[in-house]
Amino acid sequence: MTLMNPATSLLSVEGVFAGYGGGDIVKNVTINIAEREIAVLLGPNGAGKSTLLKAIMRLVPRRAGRVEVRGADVSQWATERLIAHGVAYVPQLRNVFPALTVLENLEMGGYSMRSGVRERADEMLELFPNLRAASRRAASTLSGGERNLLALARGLMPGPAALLVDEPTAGLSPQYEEVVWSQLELIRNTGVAILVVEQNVATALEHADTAYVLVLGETRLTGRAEDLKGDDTLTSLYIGGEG
Amino acid sequence: MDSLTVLLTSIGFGFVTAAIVALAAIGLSLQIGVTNVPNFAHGELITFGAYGALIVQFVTDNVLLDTLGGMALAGVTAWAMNRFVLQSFVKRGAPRIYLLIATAGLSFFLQNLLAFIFGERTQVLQLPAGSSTGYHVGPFVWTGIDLLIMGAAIVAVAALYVVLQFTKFGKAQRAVSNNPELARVSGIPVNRVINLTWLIAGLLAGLAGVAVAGTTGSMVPTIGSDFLLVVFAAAIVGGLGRPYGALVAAVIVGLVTEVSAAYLNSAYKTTVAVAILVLAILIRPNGIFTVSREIT
Amino acid sequence: MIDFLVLVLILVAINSIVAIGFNIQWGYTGLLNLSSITFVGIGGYVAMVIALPPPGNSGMQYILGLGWPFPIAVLVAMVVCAVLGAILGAIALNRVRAYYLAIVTFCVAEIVHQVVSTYIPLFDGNSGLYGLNPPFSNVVGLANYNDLYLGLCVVILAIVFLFAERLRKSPFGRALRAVREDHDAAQAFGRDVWLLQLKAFVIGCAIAGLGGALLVNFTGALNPDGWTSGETLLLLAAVFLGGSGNNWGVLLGMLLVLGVLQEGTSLIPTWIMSNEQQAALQAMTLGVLLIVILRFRPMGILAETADRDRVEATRSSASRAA
Repeated sequence: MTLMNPATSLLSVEGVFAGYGGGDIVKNVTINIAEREIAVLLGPNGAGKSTLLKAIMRLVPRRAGRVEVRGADVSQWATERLIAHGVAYVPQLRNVFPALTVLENLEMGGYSMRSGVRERADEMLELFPNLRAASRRAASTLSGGERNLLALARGLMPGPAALLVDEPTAGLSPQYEEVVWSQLELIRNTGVAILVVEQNVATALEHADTAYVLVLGETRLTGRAEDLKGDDTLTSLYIGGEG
Repeated sequence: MDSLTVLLTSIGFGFVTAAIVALAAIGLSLQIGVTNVPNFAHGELITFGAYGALIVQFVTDNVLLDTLGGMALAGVTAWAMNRFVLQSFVKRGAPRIYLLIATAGLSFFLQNLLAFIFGERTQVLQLPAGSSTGYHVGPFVWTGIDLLIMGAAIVAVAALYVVLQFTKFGKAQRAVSNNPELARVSGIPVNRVINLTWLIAGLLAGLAGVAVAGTTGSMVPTIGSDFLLVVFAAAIVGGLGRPYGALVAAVIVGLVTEVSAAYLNSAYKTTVAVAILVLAILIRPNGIFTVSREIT
Repeated sequence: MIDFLVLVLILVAINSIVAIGFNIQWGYTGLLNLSSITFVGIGGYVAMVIALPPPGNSGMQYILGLGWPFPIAVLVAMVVCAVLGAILGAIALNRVRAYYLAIVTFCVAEIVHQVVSTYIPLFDGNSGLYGLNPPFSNVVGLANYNDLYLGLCVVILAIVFLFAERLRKSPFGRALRAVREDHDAAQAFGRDVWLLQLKAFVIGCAIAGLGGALLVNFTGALNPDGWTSGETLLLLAAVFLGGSGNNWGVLLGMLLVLGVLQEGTSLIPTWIMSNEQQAALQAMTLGVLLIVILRFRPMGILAETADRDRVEATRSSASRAA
């Protein structure tokens, strides 16, 4: 558990401010995630959760703050270099290449790998049995849940140390939600640090190790997932009270 | 000539036109799909192909070298257009309509650059000996140069197919065309893919240019822009960003224009192609918007 | 020299009228009409066939040939252009986005050009029409005719300018800007976006027709070479250089692009370069100029005054896209 201990964290985000043109959408957010940890990012709509992920990837301009991955200060690194350093990002929407087959999607995920792409893709199909049968089909023919799994698998191709996932269960049936979460747990058990944005609070706290609640761009609550279950403050933050 | 001969002759011409249009339209479709930039200067890339062959011909009459020279000039021009002009617009997030106008400006510049250097008069491209000999192939009669053009088009299209379907770079091109943002976060060097795609589009347009000049053995600085609408018609009917669709559409457009020319005033050739284009735009406006990114 | 200057100013005045019409479409409303020059051509041809006597044995073929007076010819030209503009606009504006309209109008321009230059019975095909007597020339004589015509064009330009300015400041003009800035928001506020755009489009086409009529009445002749995509580019360069949305800017842009760049450089003696090279060089300069303006100062020399927020809006959307 690294909640309060940046020294052992694999991915640490410190005092990050970020936003598009006008003001900051994310304000002074600090997050630390260790190996084998799933941290979930909760909060009402417009809290800046997705923006924070993009800001970490430098897809959204960051105005202040520090980002460290595996002990290296990566604050000034471009997206491409971050990926090469072992940070993977899985967007919520448009997260696969629809015209490419499942295998080709995986191959593109491993674009930066020098060798062993085929073998790694096979490992991914091992890890995601739902995709195996569809491996030669175009991604556009997959169901929503399968797409999200493919998106995860694509992100895992280069064997990242940290994985940022934006709402992997949005729009899925409860059964498929479970499938996605158990995959995330499997991924965690291979040693990856995971930061997930999630809408469904109950399920998220069920599976995650730690949780961060963002409201209007600021961290309003952090803690171990199990401690936050049934926490009234959490509920009131969602309803819009000043917890 | 009896009516069947007229029809067969025009169909024969149609396949030659289709081959030329296909080369240019496939490149245009691929380039628009991957780079998301409309290009009104594509006609000039065709022209540069023709003049490139002319320039190399000052040195050697070797058909292959002349053709490669034309392709190289058009390819480098396309690459440079993107690298030195369009890229800076994209980087600043300029509206797409500015890019469209900028390519119109480029088209005007490049066309008149040739007019400045070579003049507007017709330049003669020496064709290889025996190129006008007729050959009977099935019901059609084609000249040697017709066969060369169709052969070159088939080889080029097959090569492109292999690149797109089976190479890592080709798959990356399709990936960028599908979803540039995701390509970027997958670690694909999007800029390099875009630069090389311009080069490829230029090479194909250049080959088309050499072919156009080859059909008449001559060229003027507007040789490519006269072809632009037909090429756009094929690319849009096929769906922008869908090179294979462009191939099919090019065959249709080529056949329709040549067959109609056999019955209407041949000056209406382009008009017929453009009418196809307008119909396509009205019937499926999405063709222009590369919404087809989702399908390819 | 003075004669040359008068000639250039007449051309600048007429083209400024066309450019103001274009500005109402692009600058006010955000509609990029790449067939603007086509409407100039149509206006010119219609004015000619209204004003010319029947073809008889002139060797030309054309429709009508009514021999009506100049003012009526101009009005009919405007009406025809407005009607054709309404038809084109009604179809093309049905879909959103300037990008779509740009491609459709570009294609329409090419088609009309093709048809007019090939179909001889309409306007005598590629050789075009000629032999129109300048209006009022029987009254004032031809000696100082250009001076008079310059006066006439300037007066008409002033009227068009004032009309465009009133339009810009009117509620209708503000609605057009609202559509340009945010199509969806304007629609959400209950504006009939399609109708607003259509009106602006038709007004612009009618003004283009007016310009065409004035042009042929001056030159007395017109053929399809007179309205090519090069002319469209000149129009674009003038409006972007001067300032989209700003009518003073449009006048300035046309003066610089047409007056200085195009006509001014024609004074270069031929021993330096041939006429052909000169023309090519002008065109190259025009292309480069257009690109440079778009890249470094897309709002033009005189930026639109009414609302600076447009620039801001473009900036923030640009940074969002980046």
